[in-house]
Amino acid sequence: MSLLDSEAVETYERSITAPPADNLVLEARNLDFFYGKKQTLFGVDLPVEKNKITALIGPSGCGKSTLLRTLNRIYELYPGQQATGRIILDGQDVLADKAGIARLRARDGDAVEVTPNKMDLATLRARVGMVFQKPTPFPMSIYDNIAFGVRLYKRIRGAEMDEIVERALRRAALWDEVKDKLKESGLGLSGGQQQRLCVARGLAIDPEVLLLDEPASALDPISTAKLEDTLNELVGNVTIVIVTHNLHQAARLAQHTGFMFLGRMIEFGPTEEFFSAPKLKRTRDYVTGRFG
Amino acid sequence: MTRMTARARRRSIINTIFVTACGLTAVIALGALALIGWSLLTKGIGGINGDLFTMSQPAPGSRGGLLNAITGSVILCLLAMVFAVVIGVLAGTWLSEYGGRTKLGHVVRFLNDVLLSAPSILIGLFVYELLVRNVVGHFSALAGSVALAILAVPIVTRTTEDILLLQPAALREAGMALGATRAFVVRKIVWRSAATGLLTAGLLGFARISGETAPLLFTSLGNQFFSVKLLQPIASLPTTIFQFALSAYDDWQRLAWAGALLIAASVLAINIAGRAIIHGKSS
Amino acid sequence: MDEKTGNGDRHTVAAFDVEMGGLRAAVIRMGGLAEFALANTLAALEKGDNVLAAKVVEEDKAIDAAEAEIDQLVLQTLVRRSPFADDLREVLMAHRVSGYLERVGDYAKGVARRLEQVHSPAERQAAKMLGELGARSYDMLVGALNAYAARDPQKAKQIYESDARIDEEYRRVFLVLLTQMANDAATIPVIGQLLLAAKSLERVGDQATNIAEMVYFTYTSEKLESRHTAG
Repeated sequence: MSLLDSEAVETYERSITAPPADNLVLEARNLDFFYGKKQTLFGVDLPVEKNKITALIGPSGCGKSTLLRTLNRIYELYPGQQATGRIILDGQDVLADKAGIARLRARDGDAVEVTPNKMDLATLRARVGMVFQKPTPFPMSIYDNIAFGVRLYKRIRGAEMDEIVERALRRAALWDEVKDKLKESGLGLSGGQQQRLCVARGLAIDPEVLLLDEPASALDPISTAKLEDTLNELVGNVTIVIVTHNLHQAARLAQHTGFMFLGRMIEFGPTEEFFSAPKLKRTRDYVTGRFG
Repeated sequence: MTRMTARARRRSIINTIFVTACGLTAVIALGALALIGWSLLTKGIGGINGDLFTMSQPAPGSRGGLLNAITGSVILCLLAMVFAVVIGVLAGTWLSEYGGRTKLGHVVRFLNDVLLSAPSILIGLFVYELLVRNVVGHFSALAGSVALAILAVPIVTRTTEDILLLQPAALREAGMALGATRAFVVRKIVWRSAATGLLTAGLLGFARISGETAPLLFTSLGNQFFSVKLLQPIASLPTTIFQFALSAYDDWQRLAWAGALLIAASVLAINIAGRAIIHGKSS
Repeated sequence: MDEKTGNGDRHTVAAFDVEMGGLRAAVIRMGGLAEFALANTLAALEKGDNVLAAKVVEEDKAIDAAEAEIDQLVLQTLVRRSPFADDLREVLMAHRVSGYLERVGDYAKGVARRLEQVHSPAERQAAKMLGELGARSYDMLVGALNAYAARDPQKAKQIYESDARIDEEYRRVFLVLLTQMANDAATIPVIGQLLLAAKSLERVGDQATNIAEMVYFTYTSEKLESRHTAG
């Protein structure tokens, strides 16, 4: 049986060892995703434990980035992309707008449980932040980069804003390196620093969850190490979901790991078990480098 | 072994021929440019004096300058660029950020490209019919600006769209991931990031219209007196050059050459200034 | 093919498979050396052949060298491959099994050394009593190494559970030798050596049990219940 045999994947075996239900801050349930007519996520479950790091791994095209991008609905920038299912953030269903509920009912029947959503997109994105693969500093000063997000929600100026900026930069382990050049452009920083600037920018609005999409793939080993160190420090205060193609990074950072393949969540569980004794053959094949 | 050397030799001959041909054509092109520049310089420099900038168009035989024409050109181009940049940047932004992939977007882009290569005299005729014969009733600086604006808009639109499309998608996503609306992200992030490109768009638009003559003949017409009234005909360097160059008078002809030199010099200066600003911003 | 062990699957990086294969082969080779040493010791015991005993002592160096070689290979594989899951468990297993085999070699050497002090026919006769104990330990060792080679946790479990037979035989031999010492004080020095030799043979059984335990854990991720009784 070839591992890429999609017929076999239809009847795939899965194993989800979720963290305790009352510790979850974010949960995707039975999530489908469509790119136009093409379906790219199939009934995905993702339990995210509060204030821990959850990693998503899998081969290229498995849907891990797609899954991440449903969590803050950033995919909606592009017409024709759609998610059907439930994404529960602290008791509210992020996907439950009118259209979403209609799609859910169409798929699962009218009796399906629906949690109404009172959150607008801006509020969602204030609570679920995102850092991208390529560092994206805004074309403005370091200070303004950090303040940008804050200014969207609050009227804060002067010393109060200075404090917020400093706190965010400290949390991202960048303060010492930039404290004397806050007025300089963010574009003048090195790649690793730019990425930490993006982390600080995301942290400035105090989100509950921070999503990171392969944040270190464009960085050299030392910058990667600094970024990982930063993420380790954040655990306990922020929930982190990280997509990575680097198995060792997932093994180092995450408390929970999920393996995805062809748009499905194959195995999910505590990281140590995951990498020392995975439950399913597919997982073990991927993790030991026996894939395809 | 000898076969290889023969082939190598043939290759080197072909190479030499090719290089020589390229060099020759470059010389010809630069030569033509040099010739134009030289004629402008030698024939126009004689007419450059204080009077050129302080006195208006003279009657044949008397002292005078091109003040009215210079002022007119400045007013026409400035007003035209204001129209063109506002409309062009907004249109280009719409194409890049909002409706570019819709059916309407494709139609708009197509029409824009058509307008890009529309003959300027047709534009002039159109504005003549619209603004000169009807709305205003007579030739006016306003009509001239509108004509020039219509010529510049397609370039500004096209360049704006191209430059904005070059901005990485992640930049927009990063802004929206913080909770900003799309319009906010476009204004505060995308435009800022593309600032040098937008400046280029403006410069390209200006370069298109700075020497245009035909449309102005139908719209702003020309004015032998100094005027800044928008609803009255106004002089401009190209139209004045046209008039003077065709005349029989020597002093008018000298003024025409001086005007031509002025146009060339100012276009050159603006291009250099534009590049300097762009280099300054990027370093 | 076992879902969990998945032999037959190849790594995308072929060199990884080559290294794992090399490691496994080195362990099996070392196992052969240990088996050989033990077999020779038992033969020397049976035939009263002190020359053979001396050979065993001499050849222990090869066993030590094999352990050093495996250490090197383990380190290399860890550095180069940073293995996960079953690959990691196999590498750790190779490391530990080589340690157990080195001890087996030491015990065989120890028994051989003690045999060199046995001279009189009466003493040789006493020594032969260790034969059965030695045979049982040898069988366990061979069984454990077969389970390793076959990647068979069930076989390993069987070996593990036959540990009791060695304890049983050891206690019997112990009593017999003790009785002899009590009867004839002159034999105490030699019998003393034989008692220590018997202990060594019993310990070989322990190492074989350890190997079996390791094999079982590597392929099932479960620990075997400890069945050791004080002895």
